Amino acid sequence: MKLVFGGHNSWILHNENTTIYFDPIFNDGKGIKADGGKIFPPRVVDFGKLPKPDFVFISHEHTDHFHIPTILNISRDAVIVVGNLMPQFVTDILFDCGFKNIIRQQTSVPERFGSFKITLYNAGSRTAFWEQRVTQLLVEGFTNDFDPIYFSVDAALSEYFIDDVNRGGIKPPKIIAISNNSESSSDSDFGTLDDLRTSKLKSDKALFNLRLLKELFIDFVPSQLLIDKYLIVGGGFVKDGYNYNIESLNRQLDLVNLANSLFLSKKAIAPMPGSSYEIGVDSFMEYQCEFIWCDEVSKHLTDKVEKLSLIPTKTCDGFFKDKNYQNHALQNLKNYLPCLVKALLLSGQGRLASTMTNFNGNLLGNSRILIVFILDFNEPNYQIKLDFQKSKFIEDFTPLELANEIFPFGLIIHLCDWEAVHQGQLQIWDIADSMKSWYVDDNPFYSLISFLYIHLGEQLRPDLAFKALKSTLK
Amino acid sequence: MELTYIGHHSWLLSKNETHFLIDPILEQDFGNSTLLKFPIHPSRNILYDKLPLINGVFLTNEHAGHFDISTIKKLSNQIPIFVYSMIPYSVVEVLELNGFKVICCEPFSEYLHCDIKFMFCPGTKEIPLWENRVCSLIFISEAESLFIQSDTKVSEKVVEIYKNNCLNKSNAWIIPNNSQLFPTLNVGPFDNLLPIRNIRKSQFIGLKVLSDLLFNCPDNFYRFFNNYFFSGSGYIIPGRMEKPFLWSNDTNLTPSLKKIVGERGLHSLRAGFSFSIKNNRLIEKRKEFVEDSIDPAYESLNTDSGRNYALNLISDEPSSEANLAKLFILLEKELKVIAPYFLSSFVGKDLVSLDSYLNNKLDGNRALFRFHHPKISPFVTQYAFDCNSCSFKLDHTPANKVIHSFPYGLEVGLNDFFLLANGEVQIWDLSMYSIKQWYLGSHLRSIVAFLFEYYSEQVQPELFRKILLSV
Repeated sequence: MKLVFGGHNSWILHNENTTIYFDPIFNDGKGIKADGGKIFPPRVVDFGKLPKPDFVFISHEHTDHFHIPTILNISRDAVIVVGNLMPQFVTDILFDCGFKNIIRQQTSVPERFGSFKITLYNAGSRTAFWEQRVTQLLVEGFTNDFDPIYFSVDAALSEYFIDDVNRGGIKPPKIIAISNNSESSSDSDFGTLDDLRTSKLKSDKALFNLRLLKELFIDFVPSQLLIDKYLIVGGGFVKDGYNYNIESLNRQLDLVNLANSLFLSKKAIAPMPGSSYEIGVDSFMEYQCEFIWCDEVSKHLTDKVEKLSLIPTKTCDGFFKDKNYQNHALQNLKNYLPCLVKALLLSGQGRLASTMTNFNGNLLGNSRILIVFILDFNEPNYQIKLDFQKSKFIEDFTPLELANEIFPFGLIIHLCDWEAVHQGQLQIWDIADSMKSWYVDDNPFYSLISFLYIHLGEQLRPDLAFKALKSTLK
Repeated sequence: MELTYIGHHSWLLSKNETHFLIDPILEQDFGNSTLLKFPIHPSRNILYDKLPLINGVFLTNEHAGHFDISTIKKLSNQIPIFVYSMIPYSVVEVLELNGFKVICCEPFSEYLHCDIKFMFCPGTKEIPLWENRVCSLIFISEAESLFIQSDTKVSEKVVEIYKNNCLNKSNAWIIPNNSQLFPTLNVGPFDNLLPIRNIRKSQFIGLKVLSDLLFNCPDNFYRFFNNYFFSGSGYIIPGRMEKPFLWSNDTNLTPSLKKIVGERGLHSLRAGFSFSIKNNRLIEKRKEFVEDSIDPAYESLNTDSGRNYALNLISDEPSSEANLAKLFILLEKELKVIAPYFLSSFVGKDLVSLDSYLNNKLDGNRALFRFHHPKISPFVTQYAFDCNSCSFKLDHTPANKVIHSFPYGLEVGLNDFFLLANGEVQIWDLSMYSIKQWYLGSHLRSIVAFLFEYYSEQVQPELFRKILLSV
């Protein structure tokens, strides 16, 4: 069996009889915006030589896995396979694209797909809410002609898979592909879920790589699985002109080298686009495939480094044609606030905020969450605080530079970006780099950006996702 | 200081001529809805005109079992009312509308009123959302202290306060028995309709309740106290129970514990009886403002409310096809609003993590809401929650198969649900009186737990305000 890495999280599995794409992404661009990002390390795809798929597996609904530009290039005869918890808008869009054979495959049930036996598994229960629809794949040879491989994608390892291994119901895989989805930024960058307050200290980043290694190799996979090869993938995007430097761009390779220096044998591999593996029983041979290969790295790198600033970079510059348009968006926002209040009060952030009594050494008032909407046309910010006693937002005028000393939770976002998401013209992921937040407990899950990933993500707002993705079909 | 029990969670704290009421319910029943009241049990009659002059009222939280607006309206509005600064604002607003002065107290801050120091103490962050504004109270006077734990956990900060301030005092602790365990034959909102072993009705539940009450605190907190009192679960639910909550009459709970730990320090007071913290003794003379009354509620107790789908409905409307159709339009609108909150709740997350149910594979439909309308065929209309479209869809699974097909389910009266969504009853009323459910895992991650959160006073302040103003 041959396994080919296409970049980021995409794979091709093939033998003489069957070709399977898994989360294929062979064109550039992530998300809705045309310039949403390029695969890194950069690669060249020879579409003429690319084997045609019999089956296309899509692990979940995010656009770096359900990649419409790539999907549109696939023959409509291919069978599309998704898990039984894939949000419905995905299958609706696939149907609109002309795919007639779309299978919702039950999880934990092995099924034959050509000459492969594949079992889908639900994401592990520790998975972040916005990744919980991920289905993981166990791939075996129908005639047991190669060692099983497990693809965990962007989620914690499935407990159902571990149970099956422990029960002896399946042959334990020897190879596992893990996404390093941390999207960590280097010291000179400010990452999406970085904390505006603690990032001033920079202390927590110092041991970040070690913590990441521990999570990837010790915490993620139970030791009884006895894995031989860890294929570390993911995070394979760079946004045009964005602030990654060479160090962070090479992170999978750096991490793997660091990991192997701490292991007794070389267990960790960071595939480059085009890296291919011929896998048999007790055999694993690396080679370079002929239809995807790495481009020269230096041509594509930028050395643009963002200095730490309170104000994030705007995604939708020019979205408001005039002040009237902006005023209309502001009114839409105000109408939406009661809904936002309920969601915040019910969220993890809201629960924690309402049980806090002190912050920064002072007694906390009743307002504990601040949201700053930055307006265009030199208009002053629209800044609101959530009063937990009154359960409503109240306008606030705290100077921005003091806000993160007074409120335990805060978010800074451009109104135009917010409106674009609410109009279904972009997804929340598309504006992720255009928001900044601060939070408590050094836990990014308490970031208000994490809250928005849930509140405006595909699962809770399939209407917005459908509208946004449908627009890319044009 | 002298402590007098008034019933359920209500206490009178007295020192010389100073008298404080804590969470007072002086009526024979409570509940904010005009449609439904819960009688206090054991029943007693409070004679308002014989109450001592009250110097202050303290409210530990906004729930009807603690904040009874009917009672407070009958007190002089010259009495200051002390609340936690984070209590939902409707409480403050309604009290002020009735002419009371409300003092919003900061957490863990010492206040002095009539020579008695007091402090509002919020619980820990593990508390369920609907109880996370609840505060316990500490009262300190000279060499005595009283800790009134409300429906929340004891935080580390309280332990620290006791270590630093109360080591050599005579300390009393009022422990809330908030277990509200339905009698063995009856099914409450958190009892599971699934025919599985019910942890809330296990053989050891009495011991569990006792040990949780005393030992579920940090750093052996119980060691600071000389005297312990139980309160709470002191009401009954007409039509749904064959007898009162298990161990609700604390005169039943304490004898068991006394057999274990001995006589000293454990007290179960009948309403109207008092205890002197300073003198460390029970006072035998009953307060004259409390008198016995016949328990009218016993007549409406019910022995037939077991594990079936039958419900104890507040309202059996609608009675015409036209009204039914109108209600369905409103229902579908409400369900559309609820859907994303439901999916992002604890129960929503658990729904998505499931792989199969009773050896059958699951599709996206994993929870069923069954709405009863007993006057119009088909008598029950049900909606399945589809995780893949984040929406409720009309479902036609036969009644005898629903529990086998859906891992989570809810039984509720159609019109009752509207009374809830319209602010005419509260979720506490509806769930205790009527709702049944089935679920997997913890009751705190069930559909009813979600409804407790979603329809709580914090999340739906406008509904809370409406019902308070209607009293």
